[in-house]
Amino acid sequence: MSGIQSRNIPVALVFVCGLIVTVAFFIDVPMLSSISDSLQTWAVIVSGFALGLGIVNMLAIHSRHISRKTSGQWPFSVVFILFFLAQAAPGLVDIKTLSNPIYVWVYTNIFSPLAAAMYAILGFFIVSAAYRAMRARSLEAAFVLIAGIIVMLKNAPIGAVIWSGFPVLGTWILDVPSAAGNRAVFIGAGIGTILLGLRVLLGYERGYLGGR
Amino acid sequence: MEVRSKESSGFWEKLENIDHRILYWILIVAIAIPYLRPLGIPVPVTEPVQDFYNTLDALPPGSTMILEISSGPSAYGEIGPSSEAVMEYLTKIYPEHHGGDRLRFVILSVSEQGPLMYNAYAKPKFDETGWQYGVDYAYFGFISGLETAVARLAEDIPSLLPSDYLGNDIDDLKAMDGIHSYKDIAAVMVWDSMGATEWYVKHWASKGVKVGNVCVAVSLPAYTMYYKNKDMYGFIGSSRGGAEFEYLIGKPGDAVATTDTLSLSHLWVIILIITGNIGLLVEKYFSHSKR
Repeated sequence: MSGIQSRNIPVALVFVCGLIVTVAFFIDVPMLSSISDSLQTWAVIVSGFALGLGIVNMLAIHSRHISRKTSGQWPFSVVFILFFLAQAAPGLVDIKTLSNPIYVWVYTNIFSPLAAAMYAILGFFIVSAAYRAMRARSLEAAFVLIAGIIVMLKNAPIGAVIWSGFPVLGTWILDVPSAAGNRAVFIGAGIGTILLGLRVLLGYERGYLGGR
Repeated sequence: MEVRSKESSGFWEKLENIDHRILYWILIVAIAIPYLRPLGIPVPVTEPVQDFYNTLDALPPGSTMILEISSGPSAYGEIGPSSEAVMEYLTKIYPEHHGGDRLRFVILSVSEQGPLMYNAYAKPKFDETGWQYGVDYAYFGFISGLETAVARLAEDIPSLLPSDYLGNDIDDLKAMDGIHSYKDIAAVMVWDSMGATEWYVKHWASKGVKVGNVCVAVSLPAYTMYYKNKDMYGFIGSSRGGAEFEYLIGKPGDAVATTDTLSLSHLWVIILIITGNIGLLVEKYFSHSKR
């Protein structure tokens, strides 16, 4: 089977599945709905396998780096595989409840503080950005900055202590201009998604097949 | 006059090039002070949090809620205290308000981080208050499939959740009696740091199920939009929302303790923004004068 033909099969599958799910969403035809329900359940199951595939892929990539001794990379790959095994192995011992003491200890005492620290570092980035980057170099930027400051003073309880109008003004900014902007973004994203969906269904968009 | 101008310019130039570490240390001090000496700044309850509380309290005893845990430890600083306050309310205060009768819970996670968060923050509270697994609540672990899974759940819960995380058949769980689809669920609550609420709004709220969440501050503008549109019954945003909820249930805790920190750190960021912009204006003024 040539490359072009082998690519047509998944495109045809996507077209048929996509069409069934889309039509079943808008039109109540019992047979179509039943097929659509099954397809969605399959999608959930397949996505579970995709996670497994991701693990295999990561291990394969890093094993290759180690075997080829890729400069500047292979020590990190060793660390990755070691930590992956150290966390996964105890987890697999009690996979149902994930309550293996070693697994919970690693998660609670290593992963959780590291994840929280990554998030907390944002605070320092914001402080640095507040001083060096958040500059009102144009009228539009000034509006954004002022709105941002007001919303910050709305969220922080000290804002109401400084001036009782900050919570009112901040709420108005969130409820009116911010909500309007968000709606516009969501509507735009929705239209974009419809168009992308159509392109995928019609076979113009084949990025999901890999390559170009 | 010219000398004074040069001095002023030099001052702002020095301030402009101030060592980052000084800014960071001041932030650390601003965060530490309230822990050593709480300032006790009042935290008024906002509408979304009040509506969140009112909606939960108005649910009839015995009705079933979905508790979606899709947050991880990275967001714990923001939504952890709120989640604990919500658990305190659901397991202790709600039954007190309803003659000892409880709500039932179907708990699941569309985030792979969820099961450990369940083990850390939800399960201990159920155990502590004597809730019976399988009767008062059931947990289904991590469900892959993201939005597709959420959409499918709305239509047919047993097809996607045939057994709980311990492998018990759904038919053997009393908590799952009569639970087939969104029609049997009174409300959904999402502990959210990954955007799962949006999927519940699309596939559950659009069918009339009440959806609310405990979320990180960065998501607030989007959820405010849903709340104003009545797609959400309310939300607890960040530790500030958590503090409001703690006041509502009469149990000030970790969230209240962090609000003073929030105030001082925000104030420091605002001072920096203002100082930075004054520096920009001064710089512009001097560069204009030179020309």
